[in-house]
Amino acid sequence: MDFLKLVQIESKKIFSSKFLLITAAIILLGSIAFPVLTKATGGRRPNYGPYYYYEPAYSQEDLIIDGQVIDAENPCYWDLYDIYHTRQNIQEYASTRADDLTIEFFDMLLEKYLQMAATITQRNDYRQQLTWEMSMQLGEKFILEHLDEEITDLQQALQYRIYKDPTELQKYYEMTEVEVMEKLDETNAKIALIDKIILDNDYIAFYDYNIGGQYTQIQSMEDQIAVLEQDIIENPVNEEMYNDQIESMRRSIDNIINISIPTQQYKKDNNIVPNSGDWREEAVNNIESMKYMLVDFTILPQEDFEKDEYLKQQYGNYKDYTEKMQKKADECNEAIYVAQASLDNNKPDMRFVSKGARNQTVNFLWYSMAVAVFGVLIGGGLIAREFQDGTIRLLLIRPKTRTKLLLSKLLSLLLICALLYFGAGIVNMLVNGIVFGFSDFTYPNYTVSSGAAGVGFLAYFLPKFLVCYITILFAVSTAFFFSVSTKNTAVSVAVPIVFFVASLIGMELLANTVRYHWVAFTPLPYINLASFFTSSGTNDIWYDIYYSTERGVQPILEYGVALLTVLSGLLVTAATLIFMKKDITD
Amino acid sequence: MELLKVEHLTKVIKKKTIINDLSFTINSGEIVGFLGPNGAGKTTTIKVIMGLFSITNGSVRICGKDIVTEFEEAMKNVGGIVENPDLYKRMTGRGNLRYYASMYDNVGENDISQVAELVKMGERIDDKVKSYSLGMRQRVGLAQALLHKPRLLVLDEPTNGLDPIGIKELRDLLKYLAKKAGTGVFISSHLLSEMEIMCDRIYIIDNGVLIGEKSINGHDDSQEEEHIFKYSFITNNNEKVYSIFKSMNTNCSLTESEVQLIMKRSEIPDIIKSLIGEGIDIYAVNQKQRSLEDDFISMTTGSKSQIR
Repeated sequence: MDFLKLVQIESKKIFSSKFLLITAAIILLGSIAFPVLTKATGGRRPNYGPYYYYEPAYSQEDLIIDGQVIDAENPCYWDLYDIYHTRQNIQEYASTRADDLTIEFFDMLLEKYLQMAATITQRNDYRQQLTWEMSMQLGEKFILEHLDEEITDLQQALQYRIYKDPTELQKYYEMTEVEVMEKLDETNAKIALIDKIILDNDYIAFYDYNIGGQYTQIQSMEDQIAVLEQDIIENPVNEEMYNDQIESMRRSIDNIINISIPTQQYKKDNNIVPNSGDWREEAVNNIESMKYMLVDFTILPQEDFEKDEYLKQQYGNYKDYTEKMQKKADECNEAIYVAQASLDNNKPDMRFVSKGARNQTVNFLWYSMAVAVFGVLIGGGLIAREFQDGTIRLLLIRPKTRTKLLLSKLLSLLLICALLYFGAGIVNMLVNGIVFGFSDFTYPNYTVSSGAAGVGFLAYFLPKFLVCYITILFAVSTAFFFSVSTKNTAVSVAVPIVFFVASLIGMELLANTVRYHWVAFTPLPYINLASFFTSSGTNDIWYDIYYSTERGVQPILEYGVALLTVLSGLLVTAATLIFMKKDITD
Repeated sequence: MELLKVEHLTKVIKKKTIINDLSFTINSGEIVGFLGPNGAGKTTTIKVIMGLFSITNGSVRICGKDIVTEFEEAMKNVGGIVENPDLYKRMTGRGNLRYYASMYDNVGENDISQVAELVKMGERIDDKVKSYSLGMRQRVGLAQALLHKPRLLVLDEPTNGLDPIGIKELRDLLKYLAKKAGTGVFISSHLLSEMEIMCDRIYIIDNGVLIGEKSINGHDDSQEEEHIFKYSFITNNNEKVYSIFKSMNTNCSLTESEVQLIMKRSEIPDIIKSLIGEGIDIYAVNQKQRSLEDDFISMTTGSKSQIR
């Protein structure tokens, strides 16, 4: 009881400091400001879709063709720019038949591109994928319609946009008239389909088009396999040489059938609008890329490993190699499980709602570092200040043992930090709910161990919320220890902060080096426990899995939590022992 | 009643003996001075008594409670100032008193106002400490020592920074507390004259050793036969008297108009008889009142010459 009263007295004293109130206000303000600012600025870079990324065309002038204005943000801008200016140049010096043909071809391209540019205006529009295909098909059509021209003229006319090998072109000239007509019909049909997708925004047709493309790819590989197999029959010596190729193509075909086509089919069946920000699209794409990764993570038999100098250099021995590959595979399988469970329940895991209340709340855990810095600033002066100001003498002549006085100061600071940390966390959670919608909180998260129904967000978040407080506990204990042992405020504040910053930088340097396994047993990787929980989003999940397992240092969260807790306890015990015996000389 | 009992107290810091086998007591209602030159071990002794220093050897009891084994019980009965009264500068005087008051049982807002009045802080008690003069900090320092009405008061150089009026007020206050409340006061100072008028008893310390105890109490000891005094002789032949004294191996000195002799009172009549026997005319012999300062200086230098 006596001790609790002291804690109350000390808390009151710490609370009377203006510095504390200002810092606390800043931290609380941050918990409100972050969701609002994230919402206002759009947060991370916009999602341009999984495959397409354009450099922003800063300060490019608008293009004006036939009265149509195309701004630099338009996905067709650079193609049009290129086509338009090339055509102008050629027209200026046109003298040969080839030049005339070029102008004719470019007029055809220009007309189509202007049409597309009028429809596809946003950078993240899925239809921009088809513009290149469109120009290929137009080239095909142009060739088929101009087989009466000289082959060299035709090649020259195409070369600015499409390179055709003379032998390749020659094949067109060798076709019969019927074949040409058939091919032309086919090409026109393709152009019509692309037009339909682009002009009508018919994304179901888009998926069909993609699936068709996949089957074409399969067909072409099967043709190649047939050619190679025929060759083997004729020349059995080549068998060994071709077998690898055939096998690799068979694997590719399997992957297309088992991974790529079902992905497109799922999107089609579920009427998912491409690049619209639908979380299901992200989940399906995630499954697709994880499955492809899994293919890469197949563990080779030992004899193959021993033959592969590159692998040996990278992983050292077969045991490490299998462990790392297994770990990567496990992480991929976990990611697939999460995505599949989200789709099955039709309730997204938070990783698929990057601008959702859950994701924002978890990512805000890093502010435990801000509270830790706050705790260090106060904790460093807690005892040292009393020594420096001489007030320690009038304090220690009270009828309270030194241990009681010391621990009451520490405990009251830890309580204030807890109040600030959990308070700011809860405020942040509420503001996230208001800004991004509370409904996101009702969705579960999934792990392999949680089962298909997943875990509710609170059950998922609270343990992490608590664990990150240990970062604060450790920071305060360190500052407190130095405060008691050095009696110097500046040192007690500087040492933990320098140590924290150095550990974060040091980790970055050491973590990527395979050799330093022992680092995982030091406190270094665990200083900022929030880094275990905050993620960079699904866009980088491939990167995360690949590089985290390649790192030499493999931190274990449970170990880190135990280590920091024990170290904090030791620091406080040491501080108490030092303080109990100390002669108060000044 | 013994409020403070120090027994065979020894304190060694970094292999250096700062205080050596110190024993003394302070009783209820008594103001006891603690006198010594710089570096004698006064502040160290006070720090040990107040629990700021550990004890190498010996024991300290406050109201019968050992300050090591019964720290909290012992400290309830003592208040004090050690070195400068350093307060929390960002808080008001009252804020400081409130903070300290909260560490005792049953010390309330009334007691705070009461002690503030007792040390005559007036309205200034509600100002921030950083705006205080040294004298005002001394007053608040004294106030925090009195908050819980301790039976023993330990004050380290409390007159530092006080003006003459402040010193008089402090003296009156301590005398009042000692007389009315039976408080025991242990006070260290180097202001000898101040000690003489304030204290009932004085301990003199030098080089960590207690070298003297003197009670003042207004008691006239000029008639004590066995006491040593300083005498001045005015005669018709001072040079001859001086040489006679020197031949007697006594502590003597010659000035322009007189011969001074430090001697036991009981031996003076014989000395006068022998001077008369030598044919010297004696005009006057004066016995000088010994001051505390004389004692202090003779005792401490004496001890130093012994040790060195």
